[in-house]
Amino acid sequence: MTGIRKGMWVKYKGKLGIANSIDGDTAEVHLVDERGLTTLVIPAAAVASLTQAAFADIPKPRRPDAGLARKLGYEVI
Amino acid sequence: MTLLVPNNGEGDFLAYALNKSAPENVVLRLCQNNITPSETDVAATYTEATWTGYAALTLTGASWTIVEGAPTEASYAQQIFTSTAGAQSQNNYGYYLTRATSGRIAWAERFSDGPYQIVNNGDQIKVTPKITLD
Repeated sequence: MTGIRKGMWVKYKGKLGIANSIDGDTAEVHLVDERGLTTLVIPAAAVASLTQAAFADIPKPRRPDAGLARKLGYEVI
Repeated sequence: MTLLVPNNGEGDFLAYALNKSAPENVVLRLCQNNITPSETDVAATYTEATWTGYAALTLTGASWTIVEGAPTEASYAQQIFTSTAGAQSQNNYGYYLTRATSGRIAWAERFSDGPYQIVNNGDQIKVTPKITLD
């Protein structure tokens, strides 16, 4: 159980993305740029290879307030 | 395609279901920025379409059809956005719904085979709203 959920900001091979959908052990991950816009779709990433991103990783234009981020499990330093 | 209910939308769903807040109609909008919905999104995350002929569409509560089952499904008649001018060039990456009064986001979905580009007079984008719970 990794705790990865749909819509979560994740890290995949060091890159930032969003878990767009999850189907069993794989997830469709949409990588994003520094503005939070989609740059590449990874159709079947292993869920086990994903980690929840940190608050600071989320692009500024799409970053929530720190309080909400904490509630959603994002590490806020 | 599967839609995403961001955190704001989840809160509103519960508030309406438990009679903590008065429910509102939702407004269907197209977005022109290349967004994949995330759980932290707010309405301002999305840049609304601006092509000629485009107008957001209010979906009234009484016009939804709800069928209980596995899953229980709420559906709405197909909505059509129609261009009224040529020589346009605007990509539409998905749709999102906001609350009619508060403006808070309800849910969003990226077109899995998008973007749909509006170019010509008469170009259309059709969306059939549907949401299920199980």
